Amino acid sequence: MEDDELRKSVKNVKDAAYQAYAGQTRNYKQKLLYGLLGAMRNKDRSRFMNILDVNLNGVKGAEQVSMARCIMNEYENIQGPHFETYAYSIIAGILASKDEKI
Amino acid sequence: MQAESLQRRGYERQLEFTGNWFIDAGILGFVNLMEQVYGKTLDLREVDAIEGKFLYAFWYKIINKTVEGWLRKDNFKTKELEKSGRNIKEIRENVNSSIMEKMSIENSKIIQNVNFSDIDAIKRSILKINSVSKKNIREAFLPYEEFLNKKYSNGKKTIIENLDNIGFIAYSDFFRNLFIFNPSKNRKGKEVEILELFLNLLRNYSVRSDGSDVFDKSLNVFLFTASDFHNIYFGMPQTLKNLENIYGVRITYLLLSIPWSFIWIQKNHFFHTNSFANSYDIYRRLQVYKENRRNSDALFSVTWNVIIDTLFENKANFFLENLQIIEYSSIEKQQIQHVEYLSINKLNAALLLDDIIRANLNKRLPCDARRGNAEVWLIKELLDCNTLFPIALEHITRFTKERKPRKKGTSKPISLYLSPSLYALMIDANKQKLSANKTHFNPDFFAGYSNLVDNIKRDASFASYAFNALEECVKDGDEQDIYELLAAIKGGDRNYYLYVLYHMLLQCKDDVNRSIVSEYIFKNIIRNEDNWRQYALALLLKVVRTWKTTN
Repeated sequence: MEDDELRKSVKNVKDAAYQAYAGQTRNYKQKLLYGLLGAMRNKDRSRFMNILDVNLNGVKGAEQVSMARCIMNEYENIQGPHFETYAYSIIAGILASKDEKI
Repeated sequence: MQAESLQRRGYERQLEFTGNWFIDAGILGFVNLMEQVYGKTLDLREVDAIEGKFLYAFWYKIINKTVEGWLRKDNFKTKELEKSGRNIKEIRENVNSSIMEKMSIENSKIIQNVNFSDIDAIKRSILKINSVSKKNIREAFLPYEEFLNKKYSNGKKTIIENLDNIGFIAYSDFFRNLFIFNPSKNRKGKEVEILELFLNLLRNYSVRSDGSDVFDKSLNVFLFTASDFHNIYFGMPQTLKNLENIYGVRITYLLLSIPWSFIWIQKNHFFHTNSFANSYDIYRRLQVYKENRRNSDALFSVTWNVIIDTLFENKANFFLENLQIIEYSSIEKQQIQHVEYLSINKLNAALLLDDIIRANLNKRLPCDARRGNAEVWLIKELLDCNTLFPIALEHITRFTKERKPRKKGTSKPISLYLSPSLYALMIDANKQKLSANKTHFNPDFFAGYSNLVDNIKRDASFASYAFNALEECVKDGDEQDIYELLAAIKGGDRNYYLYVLYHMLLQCKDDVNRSIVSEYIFKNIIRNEDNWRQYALALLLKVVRTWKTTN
């Protein structure tokens, strides 16, 4: 994959994550992120995807669906040599998303 | 000199450089030598007098410098003098100033009265100034004869005893290999013979005592000895007569003047540009700064400003790309030490022309012990085309170790150079981006890298924004994490770096700063697999500097 393509695709994934988790509570996201980071520590791809998929499955909403679709579209790329880049983009996206308004 | 040959051709022209730095160093050195001895009124078109003037100037400067060197040695037995109740400082100052003053008076007498077209008269004046200096030294030191140290002839003789032996008070590191400066030749009573041999060298190029005119180490320490030129199948060593044919001037004037083209700024430097006027300007300005400022550090930092100012005033961006710096630290055991030839390529020239970048790079960072605890001058590393990232990393690592002195009074704690490190990292990162997946002569090369400087500054300001934000996010207890981050950068482990960093960010409650840092990480580290380490290190600069001091 060319550099520019990668950058674009990574940006898409990050934006999808940002959209999907905007409006969730802080604690909820915190817990999810710790789980994802724990998977990344050992570079455990299947566990990372498992946690993410289970989480996306559990929450219903248009944004989650669109993120799930985005991940399915990019699935080959994500599982390719740039897995680390995609994974941390998702983490960055979730971290940056706005918390639920109280 | 040049004028001599030019007049022969029937026209006049200004002094110009030839493009060969070796010969050009000679041209600048020749002009400097003449100016130092005769002042600025010298007219190089007085062809008849040139030989005489050079002869006298050369010997006067050598004698003058040698006497100065002698006076700088510790000639006196300090303790015994103090026991006898005398003030050593006062004595030393009186002796030194009387000798040097008398010498310069004698010199000005000679310059006013001697006819410089008369070689015999000049020979007599050189002999005279030598004997007068000897007499002055003897007179000045005689009252303290019993208190003199044996510092000459390998510690066998005092200064007065040494005078009895040598012919000319002439010693030069630069020309040590030249047979006339050989201690076995330079003996009392042989002065006339030495001058005769020197004239023979000047006129007939007899570098060796057998009359050979080979162009090798005996005339200049920068060169090899003739036996080192062993590739005889490819060609013979150059000869002085050949050089004269190429350059059309009497070549010995130039080759013997080379030492005077170097200026001492922590090392000996010669700044070679394409034009004589520019090199001369740079030398002159540095000389003025040197006389006015005692502090060598200050001088060091103005050096580049002087060079750039000079070239700017002459509207010569072009020259910066063609500037060449020749430097050496000293001459020891007849070998020239630490010689370096620095030149500036187009990319570095573009960087140096920017004031902010230049000011930041014109610093010396204390680095690893591997470099002998030496401070590394960033501009020099840049000009050497070395990557700056390892230097910044070493600097930061050393800072983490030595921010506080280990034992009291052993060493000074070093400080972290924040902005120079930041710019060094950003320059490195952007330079690597340029070279990635591109041909050598990309359009940027011809446009003079116009975007590069802007990109570097933009990155630097974004990074500084981010590291300030990170500082707000980090708690005091996170010291261990910072060490781990540094270790991850050193090991090139991006995954671990991101893991630790996001862990830290998750614990942070300051949303605004957290998202600034996260954005920086996403743009420069996550999406950037090639040169993420520069950005990663830049992010830590501020935290590293402040974390322990808050404890």
